[in-house]
Amino acid sequence: MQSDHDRIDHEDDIQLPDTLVQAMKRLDKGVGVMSPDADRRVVEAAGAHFGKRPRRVRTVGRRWAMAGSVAASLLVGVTFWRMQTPVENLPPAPVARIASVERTADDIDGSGAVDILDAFALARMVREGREPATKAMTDASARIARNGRTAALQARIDGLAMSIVALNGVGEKL
Amino acid sequence: MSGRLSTFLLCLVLWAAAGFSHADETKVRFAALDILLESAKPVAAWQFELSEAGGRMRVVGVENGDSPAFARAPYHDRKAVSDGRADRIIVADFTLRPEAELPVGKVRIATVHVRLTGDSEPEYVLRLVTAGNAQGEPVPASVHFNNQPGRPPK
Repeated sequence: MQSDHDRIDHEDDIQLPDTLVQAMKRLDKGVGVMSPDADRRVVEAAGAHFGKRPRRVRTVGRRWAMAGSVAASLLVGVTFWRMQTPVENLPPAPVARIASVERTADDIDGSGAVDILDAFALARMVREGREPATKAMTDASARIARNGRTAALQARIDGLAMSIVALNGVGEKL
Repeated sequence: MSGRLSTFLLCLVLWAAAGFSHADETKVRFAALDILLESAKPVAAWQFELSEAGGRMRVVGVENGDSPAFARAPYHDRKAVSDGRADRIIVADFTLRPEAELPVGKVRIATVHVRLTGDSEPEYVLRLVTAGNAQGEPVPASVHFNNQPGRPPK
């Protein structure tokens, strides 16, 4: 096994060209040394140069970005709040209206209002075998009554009653 | 600094929204409201409307009352109830029974089952639309919740 001493001796024996040796010596002399004094002066100069600049530069765009961010946060918050607010908290829909203008055809008893008493009146007419006498009765219903079609009249009664209790004001039959 | 402030606000808002959402989910309860009709004369037809002032009520079902004269389920908007959009309800019924069989005095004509949201006490609004006798003529009458006029049952 070759020792370190032997390897160094072996390296000393290497013969290099003089030009290469001289060039390497010149490079070795060219390496600069940063002394502590030079280092301090560089630091002082850098500090003097950059110390005049503001610590943070706030551009107009950055200020707008900040305002936009806050506004977006509030918008998200309001949106969530509106989405999570149950519909039950909203004011109730207007109370039931007893139609008296557009639904005169259903005003069987001629009271001026359409309510369960009209369906009741129609049911009593059917039971008694009478043709609904009110002029407000529709032609179709009158024809049905004349033909004695009880089943159809019963459907008519139920339809009228369902339209009376319908929440949206439109008849919904069973 | 501004970025941190915005982030903080956003987190605060989201946290509050999540809190509200969770709170709403836990404040749901059900109640059954007995509707009583009171009249000194026999009643063959009646109609009332029930709502809640705060809009916190959803009607989930309607059943008939105690009188044999009104044995079937009363008329009401079944589709709105089944669709879960009945924040109020109009209930009505009539009977062709003879006058001797008609209810007189105070009788339960319906029970309305409702779902309520929120902790606050509901403010029910109960209104009698009409009541009629066997001849179809209007008769004086009133509607109540149990024995407490205008108040929800306990």
